[in-house]
Amino acid sequence: MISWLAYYDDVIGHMFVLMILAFSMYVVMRVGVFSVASIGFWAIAGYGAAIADQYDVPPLLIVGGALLVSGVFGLLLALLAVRLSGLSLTMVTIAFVLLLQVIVLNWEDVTGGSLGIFGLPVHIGTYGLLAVVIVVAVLLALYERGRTGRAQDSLLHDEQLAQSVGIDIRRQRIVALTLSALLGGLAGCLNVFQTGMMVSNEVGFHVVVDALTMVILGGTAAWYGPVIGAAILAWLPQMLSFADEWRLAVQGVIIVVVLVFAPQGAAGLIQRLARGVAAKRRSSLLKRREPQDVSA
Amino acid sequence: MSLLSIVDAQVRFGGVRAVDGVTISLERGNVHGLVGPNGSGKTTLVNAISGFARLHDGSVTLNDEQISGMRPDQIFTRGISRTFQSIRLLSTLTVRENILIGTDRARAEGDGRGAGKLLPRDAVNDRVDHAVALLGLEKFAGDFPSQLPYGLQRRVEIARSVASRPELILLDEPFAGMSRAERDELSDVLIEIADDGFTLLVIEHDMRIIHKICSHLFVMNFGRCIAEGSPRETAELEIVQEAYLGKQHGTA
Repeated sequence: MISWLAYYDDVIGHMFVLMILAFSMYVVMRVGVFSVASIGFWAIAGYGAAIADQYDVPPLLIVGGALLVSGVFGLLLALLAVRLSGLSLTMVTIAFVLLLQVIVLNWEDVTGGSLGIFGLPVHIGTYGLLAVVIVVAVLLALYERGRTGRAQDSLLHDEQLAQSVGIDIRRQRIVALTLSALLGGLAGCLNVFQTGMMVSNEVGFHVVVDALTMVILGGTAAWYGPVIGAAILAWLPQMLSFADEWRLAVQGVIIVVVLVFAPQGAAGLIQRLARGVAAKRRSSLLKRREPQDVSA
Repeated sequence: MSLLSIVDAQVRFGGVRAVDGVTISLERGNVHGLVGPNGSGKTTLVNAISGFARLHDGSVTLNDEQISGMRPDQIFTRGISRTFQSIRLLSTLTVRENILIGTDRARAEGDGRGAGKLLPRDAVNDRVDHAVALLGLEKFAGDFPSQLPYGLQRRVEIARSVASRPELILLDEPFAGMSRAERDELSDVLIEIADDGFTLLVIEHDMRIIHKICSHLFVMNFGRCIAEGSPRETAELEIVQEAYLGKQHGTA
């Protein structure tokens, strides 16, 4: 077990980083907004952290700076984006990511161009990342209980209904987009701290695809959706090693199959099973007590 | 003072005047009926009151505060709750949670300006319990909406509105698609809700139901309110008969 953990230490650590990125995607998708801006903040914070690290800025200060910058930019983007809806909003976030990619590739003096920045010290290990994931997951789970969770559910499934029961759609979206930016920035920063490098590959479209894969596989029904999605994505290369160069094709097939047969992802599947069990238990309870009045 | 006043309301979709200069007022504690042929502007009027359709002209005021121009969520917190023609329940939540949504953003009583504090937990539970009991949903509170028959799903929606304790409840065809027995049951429930002090505006086609539950009736045609008054007298008016049956004399 110990040797197994040691052998796959990098994969496990990367999985935890991916979980935070998946959380970032999840918090916006949860309120019915299709945004890939998370990748933008992942990139901004990643390069910010890598550059600051070259000048030996203390890691905690870097994390603080990354959160501050992505929070402020996230809020600005949110204020701009909530004026739009649906596909136009998604396009703005895609444009944001593509714009950053161009900047990263061309501003070689600062970003290192296509080679990126590498050879940085590793600041966080697997257990440190696990701790961060647990803290974020607990906070999210607490956040989406009760009132807030019901508001998110209504925004995800029926915007008009949400408005008709007093939910301010714009405000909810601004909060979600800002929260998503913070988490995306945190993930980008931790990615650099774990790997000791930031390469231009981390801004491209394939990161967008990976991030989407996580939320599609995991689903947006609850906080454990992105956890499952990130875990699957992190281990996919290992699991699909038999497919060699066909790996990406197999990954694509898996996504299509999940979208067709379990569009709500793993979390949605779990919730549906739980609802079925609850319904069955209730109906058998009712049958047993039929003669009396059963008040819930 | 009227609870709600609509003055010269106009809603246009392109060249179509869906609501074309409606002036009506709703009185506190009444059950108001809103009838008219398909496409006469009933739902658009309800949308205009609840903020889902923008007024091009005219105004809507609730308790002397102008609410036209506000967003739907702001209008809800001022004390107007509505249902939709199609059933709008969240399949992922239980019946009780679906009703809870109505109280989540509701404001404490005595505050008409929408800026009051959110309700404390026990007040929420009281309101939900009351709404559940009023709509006869005690046995189903833990179920999911998909497990309930259509008629009961409608009741859950109405319970969600009632639980928010609004000044005015707008019901858009709550009886649509129901059997005669379900209609009779639901109309009894609406009478109970009115006795509880709620003010209602109900869109409905069935004149038998209208006579049973409404104390005041508005008739719309071509975006205008063509008649109003007590249901019995109003339904007798020739202009109303024409709107519904066409200009044809000698029919039984």
